[in-house]
Amino acid sequence: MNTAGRRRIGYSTLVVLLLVFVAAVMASNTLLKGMRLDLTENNLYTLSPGTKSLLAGLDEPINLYLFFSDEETADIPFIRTYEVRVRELLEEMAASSNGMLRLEVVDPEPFSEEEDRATQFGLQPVNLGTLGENVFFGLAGTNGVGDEAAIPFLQPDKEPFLEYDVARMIYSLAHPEKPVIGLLAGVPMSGGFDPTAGRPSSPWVITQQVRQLFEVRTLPSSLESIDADVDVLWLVHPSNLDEKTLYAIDQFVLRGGRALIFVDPLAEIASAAAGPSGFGAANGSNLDRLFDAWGVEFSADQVVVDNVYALSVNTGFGTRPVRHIGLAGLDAQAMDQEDVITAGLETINVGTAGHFTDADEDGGVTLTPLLTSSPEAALMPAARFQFLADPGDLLNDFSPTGERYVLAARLEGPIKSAFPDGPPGDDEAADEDEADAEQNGAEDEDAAPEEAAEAEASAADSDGADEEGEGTDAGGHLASAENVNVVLVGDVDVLSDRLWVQRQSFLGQQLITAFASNGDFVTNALDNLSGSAELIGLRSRATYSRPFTTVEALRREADAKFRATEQRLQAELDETERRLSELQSQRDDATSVLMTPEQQAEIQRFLDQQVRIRQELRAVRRNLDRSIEQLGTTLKVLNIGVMPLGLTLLTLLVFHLRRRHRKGQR
Amino acid sequence: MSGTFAVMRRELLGYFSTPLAYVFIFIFLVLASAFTFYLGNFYERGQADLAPFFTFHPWLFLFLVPALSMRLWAEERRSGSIELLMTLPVTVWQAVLGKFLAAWIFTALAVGLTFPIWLTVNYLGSPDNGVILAAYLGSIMMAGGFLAVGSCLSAVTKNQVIAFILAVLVAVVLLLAGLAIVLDLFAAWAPQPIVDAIASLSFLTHFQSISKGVIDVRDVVYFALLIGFALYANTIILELKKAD
Repeated sequence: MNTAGRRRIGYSTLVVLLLVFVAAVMASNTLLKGMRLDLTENNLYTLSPGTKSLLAGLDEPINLYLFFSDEETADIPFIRTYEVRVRELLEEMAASSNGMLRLEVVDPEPFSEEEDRATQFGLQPVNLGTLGENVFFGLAGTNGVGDEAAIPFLQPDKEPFLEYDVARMIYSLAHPEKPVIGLLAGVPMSGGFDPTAGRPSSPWVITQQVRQLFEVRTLPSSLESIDADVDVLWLVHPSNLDEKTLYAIDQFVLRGGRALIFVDPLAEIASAAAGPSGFGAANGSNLDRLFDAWGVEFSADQVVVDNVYALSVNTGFGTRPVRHIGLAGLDAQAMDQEDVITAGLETINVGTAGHFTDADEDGGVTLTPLLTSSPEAALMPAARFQFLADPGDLLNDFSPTGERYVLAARLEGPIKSAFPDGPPGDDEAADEDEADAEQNGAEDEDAAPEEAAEAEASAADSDGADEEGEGTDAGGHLASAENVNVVLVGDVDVLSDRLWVQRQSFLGQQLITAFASNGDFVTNALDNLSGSAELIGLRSRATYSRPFTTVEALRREADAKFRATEQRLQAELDETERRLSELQSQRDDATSVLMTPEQQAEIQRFLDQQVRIRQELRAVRRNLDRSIEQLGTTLKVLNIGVMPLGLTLLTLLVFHLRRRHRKGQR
Repeated sequence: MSGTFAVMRRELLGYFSTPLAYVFIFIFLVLASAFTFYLGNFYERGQADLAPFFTFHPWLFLFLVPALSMRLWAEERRSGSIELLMTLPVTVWQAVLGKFLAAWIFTALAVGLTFPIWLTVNYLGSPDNGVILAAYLGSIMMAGGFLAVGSCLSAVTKNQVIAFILAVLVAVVLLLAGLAIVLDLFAAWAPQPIVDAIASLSFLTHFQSISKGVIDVRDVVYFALLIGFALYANTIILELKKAD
């Protein structure tokens, strides 16, 4: 072939090569999606399995709008760092949603349409930075049918729960209907008759609060089965439940229904509701029948007393408040900060609470504490509190055991039915099938009365998502479940108004102010339990921000070192100023306008001293930052200078040696 | 393979017999750390990561790598030593690969010598060293991409300056393709897939996604494809020029 021909082929090959390259890159972009290696220490860019399955299960498109004021945050690096983290998480979520999740980043500039949009979604601008710029940094979402949800402001300190919060929002958009809470209460939470006042009482604040967020269905105290569309069973103070009701609860939990259970060795609110005498009401409650089967033990006749968290109470008019070790104001240290239910709450007040222990030796279920007592706690018989005249007496018998008692906990893992022989009230059939049940943990169809049949039907209704039960047969009786999600609380009074809210009448209106986070605790628990099963397992994640710890330590050290000096100088300055004003007031202005030269000199001296001390104070302030600046400068010099300098020396040495080597050869 | 290795060895030794290599590393080290501290505000922002350090790598490579790659073939062609090289028992492909690998190892060495910044950040706080490792790998891969393109363009001309300018030009295009300024120009009229395709050709997008700590197969494949295709084009150009 001639040269020209070869050239033509060569050039066309190059063009083809370029096109093939572009095509190959594009193909790899679509074909190799999702194959990645997350090298970050805490797998920051790897979504938890719960979130992934939630996203993969989306069947309606959901739009997310991340509102972030770009220009206003230009000099607020910590917000910008967090914005990158949020955006990347959202992008990651969008990438694993099969296109169902769309993300749009919006910059709501002042007086723009975008700003109006942000406000419409309920996003609130926050004043940040030195100039107090209005910064929008929130997330809003919409679904196909026009429902909206928003996180008004993404707080950097809530980062451990970022994935949970976003996933929860997506879940609520994908399932816009309000979750159904089945309330079965042994205390008049929904309002009742107040015997003391002789008139109907209003519902507890907690009930009202929960009603705003969920559909609350009040269940009768005796029931055959629990409707399948109930997402969470909220069981409060279950005393004297009959067998059938217990069986219904048992089966509900085994079917994958979630439950939030409040039991109490001594529910003071129950005796209060029963009347001034306190008789006639069951003060203690337990669910031992079910707890035994689940491998949990509850101290039904023992109250946890705590000397650290003890609250003070007024025993009567004109007396001094007394510490009541039976009442505890739990702080953040008593709460699990890793769990979304309790993280970030400030105080939870409990009254005469009981405690839970994991009685399951083989470790079938796991009991994860949510609320614990301090180590300075002990147990006292519940009867001791029944007619307690002076709570101060309790301290006389108090000797701490050093144990941290579990006051509230999550229960997870495989459990067995408390009714291995099938539904109660049908003894004959149960006997017949006992052997069968023991063998394969199942029940026969004949043994199942109508509620089991109902349960079966409802299990079929419940969109299959929560069917974790196994060992079922056609009759619908479940003998065991792979995994349950139950939250247990050893106190009922925690729900009562008197431990967390203040009601005030103001111009005929009821004003309610919360002084403890009891309400948030309950709504968090219900919110968490009513989410998808995957979301419940989502725990807090490690944070993205990694500050310079060395610099921070230096700052603390310098701070402490110089604060003393600063205080001394400030005192000196105060003293000088005091004397100066003294001297000035000594001036008898009324009689003489002019000052004596001595007075003038004195004042001048004081003024000079004042200037000197102010200068010194400024120097102290400067010193505070100097060590940090010095470290910065040292590091700059080391980093920029040392390597190149060493390299130069090395080069010179090498060339010098080479020259000598060559000379030597010659 | 032995041919590739022989060429690579000869080239590598060649780097260190002239002051050029030291000047290159010197400039790279000074600029990389100066940018980190002064432009990137590494110390003032108080975050224990190397983001301000790696952000400037693409821009440093943009000028430094073409300076390194310009002489790869242009020099050989100008001095005529290419004739000698071609008479040796190595194929064109082996020679191309050998020279490229030598230059790549050399660049990797320069990047590796920035380790004091890694020591610094570990002293100042507890950084995510997985992210740093990924970013270093990404940086070296990106340098490989720049080099391959530069090597290919160096074969086009006998003039090193022209080779340099050509390489910078192409590298600028490859870098800028991922920037919002360029993408916005296309986004106004071109359909989204085309915009995405342009973005996917950019060094920046791929490097940034690696440097946040996630090694995505697509990013690795992109750089591998780029290096492979550029070097293949390099051999074709050499064959073409041989015909001159």
